[in-house]
Amino acid sequence: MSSEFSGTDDFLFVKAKKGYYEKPVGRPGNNYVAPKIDYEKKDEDGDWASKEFVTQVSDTASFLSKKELLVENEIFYVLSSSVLPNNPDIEKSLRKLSADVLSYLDSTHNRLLVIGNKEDLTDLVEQKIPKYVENTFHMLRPLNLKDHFALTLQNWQYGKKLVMISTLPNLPQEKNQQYLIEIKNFLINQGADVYNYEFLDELFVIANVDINILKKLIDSSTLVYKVFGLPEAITKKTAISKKLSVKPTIAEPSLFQFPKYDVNKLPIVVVLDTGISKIPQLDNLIVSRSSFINDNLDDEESGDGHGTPISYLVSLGEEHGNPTARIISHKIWSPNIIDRVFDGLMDGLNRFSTISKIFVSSINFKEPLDDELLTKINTKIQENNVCFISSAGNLPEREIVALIQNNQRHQSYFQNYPVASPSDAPIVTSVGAIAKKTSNQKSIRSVSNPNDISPFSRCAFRNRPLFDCKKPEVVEHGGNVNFDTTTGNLSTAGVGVTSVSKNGNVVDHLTGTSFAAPIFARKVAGILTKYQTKIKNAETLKAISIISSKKYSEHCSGFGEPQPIIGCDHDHALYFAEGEIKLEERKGRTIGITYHTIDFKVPGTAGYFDVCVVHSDNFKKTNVPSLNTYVRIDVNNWSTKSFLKPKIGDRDAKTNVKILRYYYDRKSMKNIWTLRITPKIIMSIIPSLQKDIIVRYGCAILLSRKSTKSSVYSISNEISQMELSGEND
Amino acid sequence: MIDHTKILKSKKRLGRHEKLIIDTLSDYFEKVGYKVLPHSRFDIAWGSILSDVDLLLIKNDALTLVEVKSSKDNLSRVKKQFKEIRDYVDYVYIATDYYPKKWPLDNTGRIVIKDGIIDFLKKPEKIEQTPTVNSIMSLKKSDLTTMLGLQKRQTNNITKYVMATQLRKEKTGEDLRIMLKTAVTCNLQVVNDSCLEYSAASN
Repeated sequence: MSSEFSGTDDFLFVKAKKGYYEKPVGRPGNNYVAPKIDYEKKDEDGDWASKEFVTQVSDTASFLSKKELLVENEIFYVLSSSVLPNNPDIEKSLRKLSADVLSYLDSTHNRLLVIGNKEDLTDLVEQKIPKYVENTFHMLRPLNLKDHFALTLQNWQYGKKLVMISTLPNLPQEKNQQYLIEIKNFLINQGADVYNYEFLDELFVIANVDINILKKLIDSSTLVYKVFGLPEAITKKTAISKKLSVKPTIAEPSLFQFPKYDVNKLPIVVVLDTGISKIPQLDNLIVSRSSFINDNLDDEESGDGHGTPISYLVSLGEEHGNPTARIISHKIWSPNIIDRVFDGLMDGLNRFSTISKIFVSSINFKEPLDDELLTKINTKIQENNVCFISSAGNLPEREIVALIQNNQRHQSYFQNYPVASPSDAPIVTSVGAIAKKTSNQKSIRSVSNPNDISPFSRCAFRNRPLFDCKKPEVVEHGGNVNFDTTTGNLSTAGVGVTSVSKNGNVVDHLTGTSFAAPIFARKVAGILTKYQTKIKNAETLKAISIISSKKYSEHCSGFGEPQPIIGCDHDHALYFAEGEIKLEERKGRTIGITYHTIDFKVPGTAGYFDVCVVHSDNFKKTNVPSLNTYVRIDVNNWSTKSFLKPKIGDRDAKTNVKILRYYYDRKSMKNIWTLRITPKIIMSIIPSLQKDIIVRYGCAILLSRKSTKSSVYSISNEISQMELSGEND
Repeated sequence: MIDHTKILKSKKRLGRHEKLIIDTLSDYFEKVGYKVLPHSRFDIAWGSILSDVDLLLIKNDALTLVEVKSSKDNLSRVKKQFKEIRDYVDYVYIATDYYPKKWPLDNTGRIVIKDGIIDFLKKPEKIEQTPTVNSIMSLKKSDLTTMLGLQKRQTNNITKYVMATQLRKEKTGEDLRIMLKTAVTCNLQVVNDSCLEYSAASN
């Protein structure tokens, strides 16, 4: 095992400096015609758009006049724009309608959910609708039942269901509470079973309710925005149970040891899983056990368990080493209750985000989560500034068998199996699996070679790529699968992940991305253990972890396998910086651009440096889990003012995790360098919404030597000598 | 908005075993974002035994009471205490340092602290019932006067019973619960003598 990131040289913190400049907005020429957007019909629109615009407005006003409004004249409706989202006519038209955007309903930002005024809408029909309003919007319509019910509930025609009911998105907190209370009171009066959850009351009403009662509520009021079913989830331990007697032969997992710390000072990692059984190996390491779903706090997964071996891996790792984390177990799944994982995740995030910066869950949803629910998870993680680590999900055993029997190389079929929710949320760190061990018996073939992607691991986004983002983002040891060529059976014995079962026994046949996720969580916890409160942003933790990654393959392995990184050796030095930057903002005829700069010294013996910037933004006004912003990275040194292009990576790549490598082919890198981070919007939005967007980032810069014998001093040492001598200042 | 600085301090002595449980839970709940008030006292016109609370937690204006019963204590007493105090709080937990064979109540949360692990065996149910006349009557008369929106002289000849029944008639159960919570935590607009006493002492 390489020790390049386990040296004694601490990481170097650099304070980012804020910069600002303004540039004039280009003015369109006289012949400029603003581009038009074609109307894209959706199921829920029906034939509404085929009406005259004035009829659409009057029909909407008349439809909404039949509803009882909680706040006088406060109504909600959908607009579909016919111009680009940043066209000033949108804001002008919204002002005319006295409407504000609550949320974008599509990834191109052409569909808007707005909050408006009933009287103003009626007045508009009675006066005359200005031409610019008609030219700006294809369609204006009220919300209908198709909008109100999630896809999975569209065919619900009779009977009761346990559902989550949400109010309109992005209402001010007090108003949201008022709406939720009204929904609750209505349902209680109608005899529905309404449940109270201390940590979910601000988000949803959870109730067991008859469809007719819900329809009555929706028809008579504007209280409800959307009704969701409770999505089912599975523990993604692979179902391969036949254990053939095979001994592992090649490539044991890393035996890196974290230093020993005072247990009480270890950071807490929240494990949202199947519960945890009390085993002696975890004595003093469990802070608390709670359950969202039942009164049994133990690990209820059959066999070796799930939450217990996962917690063991988070804290003690495969190497059974020194602990790096204490555990809070919050149970959200049991074999009998498989449909409370979404609200369990939200409950856990709300409940524990003040006590922990790292959350890990190896439970995935059976079907891709509804976009709005995934957005809610994404937003909650961003708001809470936590690092959420999730397993990428596994292929079912029968599919692996079929694929192997069809002689498909396992790398070729991954693209058909995208990562499972919640791993597909942009902010969630998705962990795929790689194999480390293989069988040595002739009749038993291990499907993957060491460091290859495991045969069950998933990759890529469902439906479409999310710009340049990767899923999974990292890979960790998740076990291999053996294929018995004589019987056709699959087994995992001896080639799995080593951990401790819920009965306290050491087991080495655990396979699945479920066990890869906690191995990554342990590495992140290792960083937090050492640097504690010096690191404020979850993005910084992720950037430091990812910059150490070793990439074994271009295929489905994201940025590769992160190394346990807590300090640097002789030939490496790591700077880190973090901050928050406001997105560029239009001010009259200029655009104000804010950026951060990070200055760092590079000694002459460093051959190159890698930069990893991870960011997220607080833009909430969208129902689509997409990437709203990216950061542009510019690098220059103090001698030459021109920017150096990265040799590897794209400085303008539209991704939330960016890795770039810089070096000169012939010249020395010795200099003071400045890295500039400038946030940018991806899909344009209304300028008044853009000014509130703040990008939070974490940045890691790793300096490396080309030759390991180029100095008797470590790079960190050389940097401090540069500082002492004032060299380059 | 409940101002936690106005809540009274208990004068009751704490047992060694209880203290350990209270300290562990205080540390935990503080870290998960609650305002934690160990050894508090509600401003009620009873004897101090019933108005003393082991651990009071505040989050988003919800009051959570943690009643601590160590293995040296009698768990069955909780039933009576719960009955007396449930109208002033939103949630109640019972916390022990052993696994009792039988728990006294179904609607309270259950916590066991053993071997250094805090086990949340059961979530508490939100208490939503309309406060009883007895609970309302247990408030100071000055509080009841404020809650009815009257002046002190207007209630000179009215008994607390009449005032309590009047409040039950006038207010919804939810409003009444909020008023009671506000009163016992010394957060009513007009502060009564005992709350002032405490403020003076703490200044």
